[in-house]
This record gives sequence, C-alpha cells and structure tokens, in this order.
Amino acid sequence: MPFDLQSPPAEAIKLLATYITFVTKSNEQKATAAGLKPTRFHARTLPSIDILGYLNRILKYAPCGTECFLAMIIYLERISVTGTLIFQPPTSEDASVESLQVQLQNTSLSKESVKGIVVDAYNIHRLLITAALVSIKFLSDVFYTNLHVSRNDWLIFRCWRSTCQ
Amino acid sequence: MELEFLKLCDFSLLITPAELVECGDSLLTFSLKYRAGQSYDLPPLLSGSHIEFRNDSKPSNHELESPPTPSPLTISGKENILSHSSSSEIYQLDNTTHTTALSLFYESSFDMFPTPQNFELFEFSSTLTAAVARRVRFRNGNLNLKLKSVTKSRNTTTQRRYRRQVYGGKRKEWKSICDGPFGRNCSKCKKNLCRCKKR
Repeated sequence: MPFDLQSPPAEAIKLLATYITFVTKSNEQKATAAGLKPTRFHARTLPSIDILGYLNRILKYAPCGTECFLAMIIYLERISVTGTLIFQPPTSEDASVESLQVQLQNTSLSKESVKGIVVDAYNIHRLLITAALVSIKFLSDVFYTNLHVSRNDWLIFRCWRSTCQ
Repeated sequence: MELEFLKLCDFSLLITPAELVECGDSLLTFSLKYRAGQSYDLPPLLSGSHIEFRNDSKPSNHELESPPTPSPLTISGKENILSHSSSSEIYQLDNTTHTTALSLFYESSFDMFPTPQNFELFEFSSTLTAAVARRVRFRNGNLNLKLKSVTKSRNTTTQRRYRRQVYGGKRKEWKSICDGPFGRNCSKCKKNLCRCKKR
C-alpha cells in the first residue's frame, strides 16, 4: 500500500512515533557501551513526555505538512553514525572501541572523530525539535523562527535560548 | 544546536520527492507489521542518503533518441537529461554546489516543454527553485550561514523607491520649498519637508 503524501500530518506523526519509539528502545545504552561520548543533544534525565505527545506538540505550535515530518526521519538517518537509525554495536568478541572504529565506514582511528550520533531516549527530543525546525525552514513556505519554537517548547527553552544564534 | 545539526548532516538538506515517498512507504510497512506482531526487516529507510546524479552508464545513441518511460517513484527523465549536458561528474547536492546544479539543471531543460514524460522533471526543477528561494529565507531564520544567491538583483522595488526618493522625482520641489539656513544642499530637506518649512 503506497504512502500518500497528501495525508494529514497527524497520521504521519503516528507512524513516526511508532518507528522512533522502537528505535530508541533498540538503541538503549548501546552508545555508552560502544564508548561514544554524549553530544550537545543529550539530556541529563529522560523527558517526561513521550514521543507521540512531543510530535503532536510540535504540530500544534509549528504546523507543517507531512513532508516535513518525513524529512525529519531522513535527516536523522543522515546524521546517524552508521547511516541507519538502528545502531549495531560490535560483537561481544570485539567489544573494544578500536573495533568499533574499524567497523564504522569513513571514520578515522581517533575516538573523538567519530562523526554522527546514536539516537536514543536521551537525545531524541532535542533531535526531533531541531530536525523539525530545519525541515520546516527548508521545505515549507511558512517557517518559524528559533525564538518562536523555543518559547513553545518548554522542554529545551533555556538550553535553546543560550545557544540560539 | 541548529548549526551543529547541519554540520552533522554536512549541510545536505535537499530531498527528492522519491525519497519522501520511499520513506513514507517504509514507515507505513514497518508500522503495519509492528502492530500486527509480524516479523519485520528493518533496512535503512534511505541507503546512501546523499543525493547523487551519477552518470555511471552513458546512454547509447538510440537511447538518446527515444524518450524515457517515466516511473511513478523515480524521476527517470532527469538522468537522461543530465547526461545530455556535461554531467559525467557526480552532482552532490549540498549547499555549496546547489547553485551550480541548479544552473546546469536549467541549462539542460531550458528548451523543454512539459509533457507527460518529463512532467516530473519540471516538478523537480520547480522544487529546486523553491528550495533556493527558501534558502534565502532560511538565512533570516536566525542562522549564521553564508549562502550563495543564484542571482543578484540590483533593481528591487525597495531600491527603486529609494533612488526615486533621494535622487529623482520631488527633489527639485524640495529645493524650491526649502528656506532653511543650510541652502540647497540641506540634508534635512531630503528627509522631511515639514521641518524645513517650520524653520
């Protein structure tokens, strides 16, 4: 059954929430086990709002089309470490960081130069709001400024205000 | 945070309609299987996610003559069109080469007319045009990003109005009305007549 791009964004949000919830559960604690450092997108504690509610909140305060939400998934895949959202850590026999470096393509041997991010429950909310902002600005004729988004997103308002450009 | 996100994805923001449809199909398939409890295979939604117009196989002469058959999900006419131009290179559509790809796109499709075979191509080119326009607005969205504009217009409405206001039109009137102490080169005359009269 082909996907209809003209379908309402609320339907696409449900699909996204299902997929992203599964991804975050699959990638739970894999990044730290693989030795990857937390990034700026990581939160100290798990947010109380679930992914579906968060996406609905994004739709409520920054309404956009279905293609913007689909583009969020595409952008998240592009920034992931392995090119896919499901992170496959190295096997138990080769659990060292060096083996992870070897297995990842197009990375240098130093630990700090691993480019990309592993999507898990601690960083998914910030990644979603950032990806939403980027996709809306690039794909939609009506876009929202960073201040508008940060005001309505109480989850990262302080963090965004300090880093807003 | 936004700039870091863009750096992570190498500023490659361009997405084709085919990618969107493929992403939607994959999500829908996964969701149906996941809710039904069936086993699911999770390939990456997009393998090789950077857009590349690659001319791996150059078309032969008879392929150039016959029009390409369009497929519903891919812009099949685009690759042949690009192979007509000097597209033995790989067009990696990140922001730095976006304008180059756009100009080449228009050069190759300049003398084309929309037909059922190449309609998707026109849609894609219009999407690119809109994307370029949005990039200008994107710059105003509080993002410190240097962008290259496709055209540099020197004759916008605002600029014409300013020139008319300062150099043309009513300037002679201002000179005749102004009795101010600063003479003909009074800078205030140009801006506000009322102040000159009161003086």
